[in-house]
Amino acid sequence: MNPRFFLREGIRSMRANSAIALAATITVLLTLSILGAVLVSYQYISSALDHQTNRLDIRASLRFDVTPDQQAAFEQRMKATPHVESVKYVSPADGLEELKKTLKDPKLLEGVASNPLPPELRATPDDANNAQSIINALKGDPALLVCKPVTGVTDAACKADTGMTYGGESAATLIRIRNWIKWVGLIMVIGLVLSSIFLIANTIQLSMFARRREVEVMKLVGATNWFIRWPFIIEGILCGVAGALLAVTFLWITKATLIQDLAGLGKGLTRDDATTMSFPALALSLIGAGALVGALGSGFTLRRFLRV
Amino acid sequence: MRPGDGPMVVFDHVTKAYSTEVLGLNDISVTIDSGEFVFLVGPSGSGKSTFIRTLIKELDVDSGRLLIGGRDLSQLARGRVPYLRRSIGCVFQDFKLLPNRTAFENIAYSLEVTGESSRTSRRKIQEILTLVGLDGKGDRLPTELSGGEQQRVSVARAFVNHPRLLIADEPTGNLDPETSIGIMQLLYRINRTGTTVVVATHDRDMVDRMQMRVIALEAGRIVRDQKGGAYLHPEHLDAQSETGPVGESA
Repeated sequence: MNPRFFLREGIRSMRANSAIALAATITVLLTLSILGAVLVSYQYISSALDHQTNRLDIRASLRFDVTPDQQAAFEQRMKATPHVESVKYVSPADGLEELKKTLKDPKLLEGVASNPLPPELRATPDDANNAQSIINALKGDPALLVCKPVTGVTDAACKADTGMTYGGESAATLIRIRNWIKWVGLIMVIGLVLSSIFLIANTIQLSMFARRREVEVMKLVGATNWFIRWPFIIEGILCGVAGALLAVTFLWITKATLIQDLAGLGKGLTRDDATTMSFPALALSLIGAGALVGALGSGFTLRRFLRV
Repeated sequence: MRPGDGPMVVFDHVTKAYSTEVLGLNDISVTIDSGEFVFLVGPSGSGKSTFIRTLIKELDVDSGRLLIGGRDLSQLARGRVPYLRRSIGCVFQDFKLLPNRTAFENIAYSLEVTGESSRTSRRKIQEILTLVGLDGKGDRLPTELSGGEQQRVSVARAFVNHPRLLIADEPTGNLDPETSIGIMQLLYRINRTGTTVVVATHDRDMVDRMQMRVIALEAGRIVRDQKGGAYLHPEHLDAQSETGPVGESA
C-alpha cells in the first residue's frame, strides 16, 4: 500500500473531473462558512448573555421617607436572603449620576429641578434563575417604595408592584435571539451538510463512471477492493478539505474586515468579556468537518455502486 | 510451477448457465497442463468467452469443479479473487489500456497493485518493454501507438508479473495479419518461458500455422480437442478446399 500512489490517483481523478469536483467543493464551502458563522455567533451571544445575566441586579427602591433603622433592617434582611451574593447601596445622587451616563443626551436632565430618584439597595443574585425567589422573599417589607393605588381606580400593574425590579426581562430578548440562531442555524447546517454529502456522493459517482474502464482494468490485474476504493475516498476528502480551507479563508477575511469594523463603530456594543472559541480551533474543526463530509459522501457511493 | 509439473487448468464437468435455455458451458471436462499453449476456437456464442471469464472468476460456475494450479475456484473466498487474478495475465481484443496513461504507466499499473517498489517496477518495466519490442516507446500514450503496439503494451502488462497462466481473448481480432503474427510470436515466446497460454481466437490462419493444441467449442460443449490441430476439423477441410477459404470471422 502506497499512500503517495493513492494521493496521486485521487488528484488525477479530481483534475479529470474538475467541474463537478468544483461544484462539490463550493457546496462544502457554503456549508462550512454558514456552520462557522452560526457557531461563532451562537457562542458570542451565549457568552454575552451569560455575562449580562450574571451582572444583573435586583433593584429595590426605598421609600423617600425611609428611616435609617428601617433601611438597615431591610439591608440586613436582604443580605440574609438565600442566593443573594452581595448588596450595594445607591444614593439618589449616585443614581442620578448613573442615569446621566446611560442617557445619550445628558442635557435632558438639566430641566429637572430636584432629584426624583429614590434611594436604592441592589442585590446581586448568585444565578439569574434565583432572582424571582429573592424578590418573593423580600416582598412587602415596610422600607420598600410601592405604588399606592388611587382610591376607586383598579390598577393591576400597581397592585403587582413589589418595589423591586429585575433586569432579566431585557435578557429574555437576547435569549430569544440565541435560541433562534441555535435552531435556524442547526436546521440550515443539517440541510447543508446533507446536501454536501449528497453532492460529494454524486461527484464520486460521476468520477467512478468516468473511470469505470480504469476500475475494470484494476480488477483484471488483481487490485483488492480497498486498493480500488482509496483513490475515490481521497478524492472525496480532498473536495471536503478544499471546501473547508476556502470557508476558513472566507471566515478569516470576514472576521478581519467586517467584525473589526463593527467593533470600531459601536464601542460598548461589543463586550470585551464575551468570548468565542479561538480562530485556529474553529479552523481545525471546520477542516475536520470537511474531511468527514467528504469521506462520508464517497463512502456512501462506494458502498452502493462499487461491487468488486 | 514448471512445464510438466501437472495440470494448470482442470474443468471437471463444469456447467455455467445464463438462463434455463442459454448455457454458456455445458458439462465441460478438459485438462490443460502447465506450460501448454492452447487455442480455444469456435463460432461466436460457442462459450469461448464464458470459458475465459470463469477462469478469472469473473463468473462463478453453476456445477462441476474448476481448478487452477490445483486450487478449486468454487472454494475461493471473494476477498481472495484479486490474488488469483495476479497469478493470471489477461490480454483482450480491445487492449483495455488506460487512454490517459503512457505505455510505461499502463504497465506500471499492474505492479502498483501488487505493491512493488518503484525501483523494482522501473527495472521490470524496462525489461518487459524490450521483450515486447517497444524499447524507447514507454512514454507514448496509447493514441500515439499503432494497434499492434497497443496490443504489445497489453501483453507486457499481462506478463510483467510473470504469471503462471496467460489468457488472451481474441488478441489479434483488431489487427492486420502481419501484426497478428508478431503478437502470436510474442505469446509463443512467453509460453517458452514456462507460462501456460490459452488463446481464444477466430484467426484461422494463425491456428493452422502454429499447429498447437486446439480445443473447439460449440454451443457450450467441447466438440474437438486435438494436439497439433487446425482451426477446422479435418473432415471439413475437403469441403472448404472446394469452396475456397472462407475463414470464419467474428
